[in-house]
Amino acid sequence: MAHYGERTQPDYIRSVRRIAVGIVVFVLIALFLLWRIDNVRVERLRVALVDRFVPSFEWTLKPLAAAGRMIGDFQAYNRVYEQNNELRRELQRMQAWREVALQLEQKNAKLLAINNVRLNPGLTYVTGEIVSDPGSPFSRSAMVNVGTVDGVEDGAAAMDGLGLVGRIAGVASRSSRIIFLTDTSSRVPVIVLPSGQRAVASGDNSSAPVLEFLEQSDAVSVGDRVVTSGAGGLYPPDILLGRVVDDGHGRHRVRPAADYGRLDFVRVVRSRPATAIEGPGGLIGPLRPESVGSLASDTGAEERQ
Amino acid sequence: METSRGRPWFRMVVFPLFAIVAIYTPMIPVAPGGIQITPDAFYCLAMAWIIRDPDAAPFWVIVALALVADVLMFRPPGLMALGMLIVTDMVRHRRAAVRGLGFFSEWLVVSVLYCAMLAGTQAVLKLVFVDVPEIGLSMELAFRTMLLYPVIAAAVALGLRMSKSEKGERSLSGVSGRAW
Repeated sequence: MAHYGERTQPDYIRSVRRIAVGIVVFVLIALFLLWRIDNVRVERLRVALVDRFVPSFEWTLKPLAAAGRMIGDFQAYNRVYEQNNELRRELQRMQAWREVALQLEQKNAKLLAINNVRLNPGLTYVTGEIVSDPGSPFSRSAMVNVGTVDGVEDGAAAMDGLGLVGRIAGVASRSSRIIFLTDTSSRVPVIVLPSGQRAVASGDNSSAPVLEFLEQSDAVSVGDRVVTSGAGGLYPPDILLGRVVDDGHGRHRVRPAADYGRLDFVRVVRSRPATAIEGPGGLIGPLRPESVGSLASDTGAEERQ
Repeated sequence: METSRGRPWFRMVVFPLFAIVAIYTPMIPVAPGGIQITPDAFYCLAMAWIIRDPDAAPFWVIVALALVADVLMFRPPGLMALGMLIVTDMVRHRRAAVRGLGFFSEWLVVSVLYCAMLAGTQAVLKLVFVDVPEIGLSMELAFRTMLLYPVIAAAVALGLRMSKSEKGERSLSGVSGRAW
């Protein structure tokens, strides 16, 4: 046993190997430090690399994902009968709600007409498909197959059909990365709806983000709706996040309305910020006189003529 | 002897292929956003290979693959690769001792080294003020990786007929000059 191994190798190979290992260690440390110091540029490089290589593996990822889901679905088949009955009951209840919703919609339309409200037309969506999901305890994120070509911008909000999913962090030309609400680096300014309390929903790698900086936590009750407040300008206002739940340790959390378990498609919001009005417009109306004195002398001159 | 002559090259080619599968599998979007802690299959594979046939897993292949994993999984680039390099080289240089162990001791060594690597990388991240995930999640990851190791080691030992025995070494040492 002892005859084999390093001893059979000539000395020069061992020393060359040692130097090579040293160089590699140095390069790795340098790369890590570069990432720490100039995070933005390295992350951009990373997204570019993922953009280049992951789509070429899409054909392998897709069938495997489908197979994984089928196994999950198969377990559900056992309970088909119960589920069917449950769904029928639920459908009954939903039909009642549908009626209510229709009435409310008509009422809403009438009220909007009365108030002459114009909704923001700049809010459009682009829908993308999730191509990969680097699941690890270190991040909650996914790659979608829309990028700058489709008008996606860094920081844009991403939603599924119902609620906010996360935001774009890192865009390449044909793909971008979504950081989920549940990621540790996700902070969303929100309003808890009936009470109007402002808070920040911050992810902590659990399935439900924590509501931080609540002014009066007694005013918030379980089941309240949580929507984005639009503060800070990153997220457009009034996008549904989810409902308030209590985690048993006296802290309020948001159970996301977005169904992370079945996330196939996401809508990325392309919001154009409203044009800010800075001072009075230069072209509208006559020019302002420079001062009151000059105004008086002007009118005097006119009277004399 | 004839088969074992061809085998080292086969193992050398197969290792990166398996490793790429191991790196890509956790990226399959089965349940995006959910809490899914996938065990570090690449680490298990690398360790199983290093202990059984170190020459078929040269350090630069391991580093390159670990770097790919770092980039794709949105981990701090270079850190986990450095950890992998240190840990695998430790085993590589003490392989005479590791080879003498029974399977359970080998499992223990691999598990302890993985925990040490995780703890080390987290400590470095703390040192440079990067947010580290909760300790519970890392422990869960380490636990699952430990559970995965026997499966991968058995698959490698049985499927590829790679053993820690003396016989395999002799045939390997015949092919010299492939030290790294």
